[in-house]
Amino acid sequence: MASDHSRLTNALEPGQLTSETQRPLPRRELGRKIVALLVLLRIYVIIAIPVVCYAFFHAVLAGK
Amino acid sequence: MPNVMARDRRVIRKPPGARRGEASDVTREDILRADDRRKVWATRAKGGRLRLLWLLIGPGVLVMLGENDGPSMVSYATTGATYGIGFFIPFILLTFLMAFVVQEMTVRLGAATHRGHAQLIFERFGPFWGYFAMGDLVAGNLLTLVTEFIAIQAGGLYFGIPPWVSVACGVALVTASLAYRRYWTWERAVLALAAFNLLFIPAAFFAQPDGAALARAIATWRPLPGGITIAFVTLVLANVGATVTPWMIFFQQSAVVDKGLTAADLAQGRLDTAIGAAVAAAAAIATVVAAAPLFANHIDVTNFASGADFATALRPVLGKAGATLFALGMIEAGSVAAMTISTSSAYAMGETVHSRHSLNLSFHQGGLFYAVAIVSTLAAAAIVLIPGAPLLALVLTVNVIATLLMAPALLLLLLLVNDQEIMGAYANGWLSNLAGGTIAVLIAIVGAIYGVITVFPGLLGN
Repeated sequence: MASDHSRLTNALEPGQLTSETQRPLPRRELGRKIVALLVLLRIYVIIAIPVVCYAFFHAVLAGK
Repeated sequence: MPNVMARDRRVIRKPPGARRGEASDVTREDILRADDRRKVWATRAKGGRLRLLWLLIGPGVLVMLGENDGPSMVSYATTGATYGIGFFIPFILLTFLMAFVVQEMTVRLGAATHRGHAQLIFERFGPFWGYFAMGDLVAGNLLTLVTEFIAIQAGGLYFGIPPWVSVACGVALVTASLAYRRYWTWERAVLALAAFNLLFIPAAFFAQPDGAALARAIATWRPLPGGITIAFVTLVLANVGATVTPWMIFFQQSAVVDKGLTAADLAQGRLDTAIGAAVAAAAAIATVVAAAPLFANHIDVTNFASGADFATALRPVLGKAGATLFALGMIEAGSVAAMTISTSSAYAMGETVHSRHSLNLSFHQGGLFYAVAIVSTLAAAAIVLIPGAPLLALVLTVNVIATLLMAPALLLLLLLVNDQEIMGAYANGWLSNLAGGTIAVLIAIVGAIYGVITVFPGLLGN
């Protein structure tokens, strides 16, 4: 078992082991500007999706 | 190859008092990944560059050819049928250059952090932004999966295969590919299938394209018949959505991690992505060229319901052989994308809920992972079989949605790849940031223009 483990650690980087990747990374502090940009893009998507839906139904009805 | 199953049972038992990182924490994924990595290290030691590329190629080619999916090939065919050989030829090359810039960042992220994209978003930015990103991905992936089965169904219809049979075969193919329980084998099988995306190239030759016109289009970005119209903006957006979509970011990063790439493999990872982009661009342009005769003959494609209609309409021009290649290409496009997109959803879901997520897992250990892939596939297949579903409208709309969802996905990608704490020396330089930022801004602008002219069509005077 020990020799299997050492063969693994020789072939993989420590950060590649499943036990390591399951340890969560610390949360990052997002600055105000970044949060504002993320919120802006989220609003962009929330506005855009209904427009796309409108275009889709318009195309479907036009095709009938 | 060692007896993995016996070893798996032996190492999973955790002795009392065992500490993290000890032999008891080693899993089947680790063992299989290590087996793959030993081959890479041995090849690197021997200096076998071609064999090294062969071992490391995969995520980049798969993601690029996977993005040449059903709706993408229909978008390219619609482009060729509407505009012929002109503006969109160099534009498509530009979109694949954009795709390379974006996807190269995911290779670096995966190789440097050994974590998937969804996992990084949740861990670094928290669940609030994580669930938004996942919501975009799940919605986009489900809609896109539906369109993949539309492509499979359309290709089957050309050959007279009933829709339920071709859709069932598609579901069986996706499910069977997961049965390998070995990332390497899954990757090689899907790569072999993805090679058939190149069928569009011989199909294009049947159209007897004018080489001089092609060269002139690449050099001058002309002609653009009809100028800038709603149809033009829609196709621009659809073609962008045919090459850069959120699922590609999530898939390639997770595949890089599952394959076990490290920073030492970045050169091959970039080459893998570049080769994928080049091959996919060739197939995309070939599709435009193959459909261009419809433009030359003034065939109206606005009422085409699926890719099968394109193949049928092209038969008088391309001949039976050319049209057959086109239809087979549509089936391949839908099949490969169904496999990669369903796997993308499975990776992302596993990373989100902290459950095991790898194509190296047994069915017992990876129950949720495989269930997500299979259930999403079944749901998409069922939707396609609903009588009277508006198929072509859905196909073109999905690429537009993918483009719109790309802007926030790109911002999250840029934030992660600039995160010095996790990327270290592999964080973005100014050039990568300039390129990535420009792409994000352009996509957002084009999406906004689409929104405005959809609501106010009179703005363009048509």
